[in-house]
Amino acid sequence: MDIEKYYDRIYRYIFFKVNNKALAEDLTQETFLRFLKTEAKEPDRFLYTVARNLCIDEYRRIKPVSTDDEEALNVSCEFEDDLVTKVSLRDALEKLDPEDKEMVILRFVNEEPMSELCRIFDMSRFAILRRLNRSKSILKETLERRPANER
Amino acid sequence: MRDKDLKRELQEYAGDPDFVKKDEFIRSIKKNSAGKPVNLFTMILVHARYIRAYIWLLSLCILAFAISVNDGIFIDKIKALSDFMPFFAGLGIIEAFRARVNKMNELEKVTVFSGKGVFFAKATAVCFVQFITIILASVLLRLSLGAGILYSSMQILIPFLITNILCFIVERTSFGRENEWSCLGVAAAVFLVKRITLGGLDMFFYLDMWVVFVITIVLLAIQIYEIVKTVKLEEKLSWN
Repeated sequence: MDIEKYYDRIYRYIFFKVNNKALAEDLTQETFLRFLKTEAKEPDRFLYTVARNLCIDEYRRIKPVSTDDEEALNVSCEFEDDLVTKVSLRDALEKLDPEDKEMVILRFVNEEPMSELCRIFDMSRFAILRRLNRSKSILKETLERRPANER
Repeated sequence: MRDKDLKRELQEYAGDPDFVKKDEFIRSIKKNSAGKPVNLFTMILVHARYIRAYIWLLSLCILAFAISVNDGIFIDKIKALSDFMPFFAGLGIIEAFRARVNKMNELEKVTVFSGKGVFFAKATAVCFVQFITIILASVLLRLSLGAGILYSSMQILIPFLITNILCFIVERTSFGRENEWSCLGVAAAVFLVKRITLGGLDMFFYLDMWVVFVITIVLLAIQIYEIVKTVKLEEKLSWN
């Protein structure tokens, strides 16, 4: 398996779940180590499943990150605007159902094909498209409510 | 807000993972997987799969000949098998040195496995297949003719072992390395010497059973020594 091909995608997927760069990196590496031990036939599905399970374990282990705490973002923001954008984006994502959020990450961030999403969520193309459109409008609505200078 | 902007903002939110950390991790994974040890048994099994069809076919022919009904004197059948053994051994050695025949031995030596290990696995796989064939042929001779297993196996094994030993010695010389088919010459020589010295008789006419048994054991020991010696010198001989 070409680790380079999947590394960034798995990292982004985990980052959206844990909101912590260092933790996301550690969990990404742990995901690959677990995958290599098993050598599953479908890397995409298997990697996402392992990553999701690791995130769940991490949630159980530590308290959830407070949305008010800017430090918790743990992202290097050089400009205040950038930080505000990130906070509002995170807030917008928090409004989504966990499964919808996962779909958004896989489709818009990792650019996974629709066929892959159908397999991962075991849903029809139409159902996924409908949920993605709904999530998209929620995200847009939340982000458009930001003050104009932040956009 | 357009879809494109939303996508861009989402992608920028996560950013990229730390490149140094990522690179270090991928390197360590590649290093660990490249150095995965392969044990000798696995290596022999892998090489057994690549033994060419004619060796298997010859083995089957020998077994078929051993089990075939014979209304003549059984000694003729064993002698015929014994006469064929030098050629069987010679072809086996050619198979073990196949990389050299195909001019691929230098390439074989620069793979992740050592050239010595690959050659040893190949030679062992071929010799093992031939050895099993001889033992099975002896058992089948017992079933078809009622000949003693020890008696027939020694009759067949001795010319086979002598040819094998001589072939390994020849393969270590520059003549052997330059002439891929020299093993067949060795086989023909063993066949002729056997025919000339023994004529129509078998070796038990001249020697006691236990003497022949001791000779077989000694030849087996020399054969193992020759394989080990050739394996040790294989890389050195091909580079010099």
